[in-house]
Amino acid sequence: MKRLLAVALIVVSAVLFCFQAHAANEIVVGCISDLTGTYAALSKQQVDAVNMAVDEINKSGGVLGKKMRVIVEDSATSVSLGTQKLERLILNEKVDFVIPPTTSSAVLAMMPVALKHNKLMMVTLAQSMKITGENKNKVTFRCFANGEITAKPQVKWMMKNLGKKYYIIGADYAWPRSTAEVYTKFLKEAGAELIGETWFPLGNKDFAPYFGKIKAAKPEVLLMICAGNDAVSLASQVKQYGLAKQMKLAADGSFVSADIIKAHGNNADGIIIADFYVDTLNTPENKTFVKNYLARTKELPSKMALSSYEGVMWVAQAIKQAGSTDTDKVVKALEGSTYKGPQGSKKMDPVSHQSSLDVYMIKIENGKYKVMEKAN
Amino acid sequence: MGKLNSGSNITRVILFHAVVLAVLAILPLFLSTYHQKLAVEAIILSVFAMSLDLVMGYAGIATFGHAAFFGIGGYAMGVMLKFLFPSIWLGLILAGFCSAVLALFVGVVSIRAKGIYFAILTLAFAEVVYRIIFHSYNTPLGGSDGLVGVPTPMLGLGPFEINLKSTTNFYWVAVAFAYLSYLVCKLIVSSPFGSILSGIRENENRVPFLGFNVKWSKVTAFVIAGAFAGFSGAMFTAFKSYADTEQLSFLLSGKVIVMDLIGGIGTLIGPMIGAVVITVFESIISTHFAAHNIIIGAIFVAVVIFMPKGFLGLFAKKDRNE
Repeated sequence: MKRLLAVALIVVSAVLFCFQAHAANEIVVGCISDLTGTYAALSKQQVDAVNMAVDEINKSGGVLGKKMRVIVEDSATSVSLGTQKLERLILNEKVDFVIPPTTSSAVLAMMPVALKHNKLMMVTLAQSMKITGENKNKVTFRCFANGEITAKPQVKWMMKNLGKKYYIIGADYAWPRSTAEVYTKFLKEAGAELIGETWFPLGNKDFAPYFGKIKAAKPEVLLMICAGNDAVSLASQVKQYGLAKQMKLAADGSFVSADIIKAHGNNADGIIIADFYVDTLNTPENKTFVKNYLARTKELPSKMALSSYEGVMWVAQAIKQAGSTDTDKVVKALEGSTYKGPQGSKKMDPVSHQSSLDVYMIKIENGKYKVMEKAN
Repeated sequence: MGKLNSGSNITRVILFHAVVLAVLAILPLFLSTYHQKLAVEAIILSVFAMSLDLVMGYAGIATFGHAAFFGIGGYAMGVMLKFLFPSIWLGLILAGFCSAVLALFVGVVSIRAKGIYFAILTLAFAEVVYRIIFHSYNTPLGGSDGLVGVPTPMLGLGPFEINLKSTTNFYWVAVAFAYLSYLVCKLIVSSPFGSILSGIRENENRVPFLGFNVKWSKVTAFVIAGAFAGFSGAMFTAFKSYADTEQLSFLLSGKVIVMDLIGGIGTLIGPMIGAVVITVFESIISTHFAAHNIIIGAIFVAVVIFMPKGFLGLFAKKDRNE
């Protein structure tokens, strides 16, 4: 009996192994998403937004007379699974272009694979500078922000409006540290004085010991770099200890990202960030986008959802312009092209393949984003 | 396989090996490129799973940090190919050396602890290695971004050069690599040293009375297993053209234990089968079902409850304690 079971299991896996789908006369979008693992929540937004973009395109008649179809693959926050899935989508599903997942390391490992098969990738979530920097390649584009895009105008604005003496507090791991390096670079260029930095361990609960040191240093601006629960606890204690009375508060966009803005309550009020998108952006295109997204998912769109939506739309526009789904032609059409979406108008850099983005200075008021002004 | 063949004559064993190798050799002709790639990955990981079997199945030492050796091997190969010299042989040597040195260090420091305490120490060392590389974002290792853009080298075999950019070629190289690794490990476990390891597993306290040094036997097994894990990680990096912190992570250390238990520990070939099953299943199930981790978990639970000796245990002769 048990032997029979084992044999049956092997037969089933052999059948699964040989299972292949066929592509018809349509444009197929491969969406690789970290649907299980750490980034599950924002990866669901990625998939929702990609599906929403494709539905809208199909409703208005498709692209080049062809309907679009999405194939979603779970890369499970794993680099090796991500590259496997990319090859499956390209070789077996014959997708026309790919929207890769959140994890920068997975995207970086996928880039040479996409290049080898000459398949276009529009990065809509991964942030690493390397993607459009030292590791850039012909087929990879990004319509999402890297660290520098928001930090540069934010520093310029802060220098003009908040002060010249800065103190950085952040969680002690790779992302906050590399983000701090970017800020430090721009602050030094702008002639600011960085009077101190403090790094607390991930998951820290008591920030009071750090506050004494910060108060004693008398900075004009406290710049906070962390995300998730760390940001929520830091903001509540900053408020409790009344740091805002002695200095201005600024943060990286992730400090008050859409997934934790509710958890902040009113604690984050007064904090100033720079970001390329928040759902309260006051343009007619954005209002329609937010309305449709809300109707579809019962959630407000984050910048990840926006970016995934715009990424698909932008590639569709390039396919239309190229008159073909041929990767070389679409790459040509994308390079230097402009696209106007809910977030605003943007241009794809023909060399780095990094899209320009309008960045807005945003202040948190009553637990909501208030867009103050455009910063670049 | 070892147990299946014990008692039968050598011709039958050789014939069996020849048939298995022949089937493996012609398999890629029936597979699409994606499935070939999946097969290469599975075969490379099978050596990793087998290396764990040396310590877990034969010496009876549980370790929760085996991925550290796999990952270090991967990074060693990545550094060799990308920065030093594009030779897969030198990469393998460096990988085996680095992993063996790390295993020697971890082994010597932790071997006094037994059972779960040793397992926790290996976990702690693996985490240290993971953290160090994860935070090395300003170094050539790339930190959490991984070491990407590792070139695929040619494989020099005397006067011949094999182009590893072809998946089919890499497949055959991977089969040869796995088969040779299996033969070496089989020799080790069939040697007197292998018997000492089995003795330690069965009754650690009695082995010293026979005049053998338990501590050094265990460390030696640990180092050999570490070296093979390193070779496997190096091949993985050469094939996938990246080295990532994922290869060092606790999750992989856990996954390789699952591979071994599903296949059947103490058999060498069982863990190899387990690795192939898990790798293929994971990739294919996750395409069709959202809850793929639950399915794999359920299979694991079912195997542990209903087939405590793994898949291979079902086909082995019932020769021990039954």
